Amino acid sequence: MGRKVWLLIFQLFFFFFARGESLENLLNKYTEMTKLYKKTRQESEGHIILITREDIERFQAHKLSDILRSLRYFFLQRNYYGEEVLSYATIYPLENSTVRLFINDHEISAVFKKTPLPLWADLPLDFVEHIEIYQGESAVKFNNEMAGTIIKVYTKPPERENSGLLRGSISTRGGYSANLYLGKELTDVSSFSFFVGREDYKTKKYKYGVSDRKKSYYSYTQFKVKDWNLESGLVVKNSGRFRGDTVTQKPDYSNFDTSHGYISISKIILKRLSLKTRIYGDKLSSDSYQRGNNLIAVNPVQAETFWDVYVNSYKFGVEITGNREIGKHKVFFGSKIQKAGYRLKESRGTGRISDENNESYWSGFLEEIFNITPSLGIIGGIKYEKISRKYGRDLNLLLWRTGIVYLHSSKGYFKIFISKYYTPPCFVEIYTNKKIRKQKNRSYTFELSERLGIGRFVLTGGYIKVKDSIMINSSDFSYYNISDTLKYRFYSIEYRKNLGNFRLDAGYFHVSVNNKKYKTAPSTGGTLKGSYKLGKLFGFLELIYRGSYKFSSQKIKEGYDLNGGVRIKMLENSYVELKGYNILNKAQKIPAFKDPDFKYLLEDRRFVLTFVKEF
Amino acid sequence: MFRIIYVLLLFYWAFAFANSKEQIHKIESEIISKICSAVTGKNADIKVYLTENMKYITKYSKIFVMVDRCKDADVVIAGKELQNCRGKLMVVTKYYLLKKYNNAVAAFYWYKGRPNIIFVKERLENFKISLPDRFIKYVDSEKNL
Repeated sequence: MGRKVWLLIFQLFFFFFARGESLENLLNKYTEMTKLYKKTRQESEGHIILITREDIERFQAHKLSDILRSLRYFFLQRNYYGEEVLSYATIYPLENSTVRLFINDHEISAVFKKTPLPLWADLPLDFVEHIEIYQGESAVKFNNEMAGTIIKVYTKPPERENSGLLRGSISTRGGYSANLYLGKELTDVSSFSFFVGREDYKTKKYKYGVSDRKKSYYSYTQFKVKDWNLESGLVVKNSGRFRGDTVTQKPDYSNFDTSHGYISISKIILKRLSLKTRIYGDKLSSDSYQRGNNLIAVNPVQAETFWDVYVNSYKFGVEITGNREIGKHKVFFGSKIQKAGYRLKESRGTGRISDENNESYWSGFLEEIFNITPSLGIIGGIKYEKISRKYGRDLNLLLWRTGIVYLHSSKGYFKIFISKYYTPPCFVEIYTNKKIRKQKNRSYTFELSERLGIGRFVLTGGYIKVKDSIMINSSDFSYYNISDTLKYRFYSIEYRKNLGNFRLDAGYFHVSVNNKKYKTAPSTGGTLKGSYKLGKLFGFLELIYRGSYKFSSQKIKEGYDLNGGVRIKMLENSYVELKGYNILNKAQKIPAFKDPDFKYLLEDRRFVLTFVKEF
Repeated sequence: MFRIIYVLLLFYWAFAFANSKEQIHKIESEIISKICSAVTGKNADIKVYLTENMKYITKYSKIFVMVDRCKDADVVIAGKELQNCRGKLMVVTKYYLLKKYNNAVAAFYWYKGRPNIIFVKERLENFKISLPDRFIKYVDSEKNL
């Protein structure tokens, strides 16, 4: 009882004497209240994993992939072109069109394959303020196309920066990177930010002499003038000497050029409704060339001596979003019209193939949050999507979602969501099978978070039923709808404890699928992270576990990916960092799709020395 | 009874202050009031000239008396560029204004993603201002701007 009375006195003291606070207390309070994620995060859209700016610094996360590799229910791996793919637990990483990536308001998912990460997984985070990952089946509020997971990358608002950063790294594998960021407020109504980065990345030498080498350039620009916001981004990537599509050896020569550029212009047209309109356009191209014996080209499957695939794609559109608060009701609404298409040209030893397709997309959503009390909200949302294509099935999709968010005290909350939604086949899937149908999903998920004396616990879980699941046929490499209904059951538990300057994070997840023959990737995973921050000294260790599984005839061993690093202040505004990837060399390997005997790592053991200069 | 009071207080902190623009403005006003009080040496009736975008602070702070002309003010609080206030004691809320105006002795502004407070040593000396000890940790040299 005595403890409770003291607690009450303390609260009352804070309540009545807040006005007499010191400048330092006021500044701390202001810092806390104005954190950007407090404005951007949408509790109603699913189960959020928040990566703050402090987390990015604490774990030396220089690239988006540094964050994604330990994500619950997922695993990040490279495919046989050296591209990174984020895949759901139990599902082999080929394309994954249900993960959508945004930079601020703009969705940068690709057009032909829909999967954003092959190009953007290595996005440098020097210009990023925070990342919100929504494991939110059927989330609609971002005016996104239908999705299971949404990664929202929020850039540093230039008016909050007024500074710049130079970062250079060298790696023990011979790679390097150089990055420059600048963000400035110009007047009280205008600001700009600019980022440019280059990375040269090399892997170790694998079987058959495979030694992937990648060069990538990223740039991002933002101008804000009054209620206008102009953003553009560009990534250009080249890689070679990857595993490729040969049967038992690497191609004699391989080269893969890809690029994606976008521009987005938005304006707030009515502040009372937060009414924002946006126009945007994206242009993407990829050209992969392989030459060698025993090269297996697909669609149709043929043995070739060379194979060149060129895909040029685009999308452009206009959207409007807004919200209105009426008493206890908050209504969100939005609509989008988009045109997208591609042109494909293939050359192979036996001839040429060309193809093109396009789609007109229209969507509208309405979502309401009804706050029964300040701590209890009911969510209900619907979204309609209409997709018509030059070839392939036209689609009229209606999803619905409902949920409850209950904040039962300042220490904990509970969320539950139920939804029915669809995964429309993307262009590459239709290209291989014109009759492919939409995938039908129904999901039930929950989250419980509680801060106890020993730390904070977060428990998530759920059940997803998938009909007409879209999968790839391993003999002719075409996509098809399986006849079995898949039922995924999953849970995760996470723990966090702050002990002064030390922070401990731990997590474990498990996913089970009703039919074992569809388990082609790890179903369990876990993380253990310890990090230390004292002034400008940072240090961390992270162990990422992924369970064993069977792929084709191969038994893939469990993996223990140990990463760690330190950051030391050298001079005023200058730092040196040392980070080790896969230090134990025990990370999980992935088998190549066409040659399961050939296994490779997401990241082979390397140490990276980084110099950072802020100005 | 204890539980009721405690839960009410928790909800008060969790929701009444939940990132509302009003509350953010209130804290901004308190911070600016403390800065102005430190540079003018006054705790009340500080005559202040405000740029248009800073006028909200008088709603939350009662130590200011708003004046219409810059020359009548004890201190100018600028959140945007302004004319004809050269040489007047100034507190600014933007980094570019701090760099631009030599008479800006203090600032509450965003830098490297965080709100900052600074009192500029050389400029304080020009105005012959000595700060109370509790503000010394916010003093920095002009060359570090």
